[in-house]
Amino acid sequence: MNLGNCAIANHYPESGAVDPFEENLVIIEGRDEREQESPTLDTLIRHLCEFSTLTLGNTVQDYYTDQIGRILGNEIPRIALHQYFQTGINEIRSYLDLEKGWDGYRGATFSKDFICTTEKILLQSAGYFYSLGLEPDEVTPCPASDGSVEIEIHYQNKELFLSLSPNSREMGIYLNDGMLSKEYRDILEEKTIQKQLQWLVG
Amino acid sequence: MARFFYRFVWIHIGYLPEETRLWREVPPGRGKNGKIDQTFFKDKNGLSSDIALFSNEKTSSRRRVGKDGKPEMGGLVCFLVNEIRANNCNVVHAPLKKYPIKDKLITNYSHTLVNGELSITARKELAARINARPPVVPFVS
Repeated sequence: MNLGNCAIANHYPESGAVDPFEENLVIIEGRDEREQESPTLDTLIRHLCEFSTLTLGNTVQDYYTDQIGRILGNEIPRIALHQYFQTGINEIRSYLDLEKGWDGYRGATFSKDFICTTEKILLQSAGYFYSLGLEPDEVTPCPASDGSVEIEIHYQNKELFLSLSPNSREMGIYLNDGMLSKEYRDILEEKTIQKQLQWLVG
Repeated sequence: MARFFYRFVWIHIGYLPEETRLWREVPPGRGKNGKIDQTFFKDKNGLSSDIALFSNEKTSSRRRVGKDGKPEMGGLVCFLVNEIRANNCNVVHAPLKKYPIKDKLITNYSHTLVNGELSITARKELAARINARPPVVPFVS
């Protein structure tokens, strides 16, 4: 199970990339012998999302999805991302092609590490919606001239905007429920995003 | 004649009047369904735009340099200085003389910068206001 490890290390030497799936598969494979509790579907999806983020490609993701499906008796032969998230991810990846001055003025470029971070957030959101069996009304990533990216997620009458800047451990958050709007900054971490997503679907 | 003189002598305009019209290019593929989104106005380093009085549609909508090194046609939207100032930000004249972008030296006398970063709320309102107007140069989504 060393597939893709080299690719990860080459693409993201500074990201401390480890294959989150490697560990998970060991648990699955040893399940029968040690009678361990099987990993939940959520965990698998989360790890799959993390792995997909690290590889920036679908081929390996498909391979691993097949592996899980086989191990779990084809319970999940394919995990398809919701169309909006898939489109969003494709769009975010396209920002890597933007060159300096892309906005007609002094538009900054987007680094691979930063695109990886934004994609990870999008995948976390996809996993959250997937785990609840919900679909967002709209998911739109937008590039800004200063090299930052905003992710807009619309669900029913609520809006959540996540404003991400490169080399920043903080993110801007905008919440709007149609009646009131709120804007603030918070630490960029998984549980903060989880909190915002809970608000969005709540 | 006065415009030519200002540009020729490279006079720095100290204060832009409230009703000054500003143009900002919409790069190809940037607008969605013929509308701009709020991040169009996001630039913590200072949002760039052109003073309409010192530019023309063709120049301002072709500032983007394509992969072949030639200017690419974009769209153009218009807003006023006071629409920015109403959000606790200021607009200043910041002419560019031989500014390097992609191996090219850009000179743009009409260039302006927004001092300060607009909030998301302000950007949303501004985008909605501009989307309600016809663009100066239509843009392709």
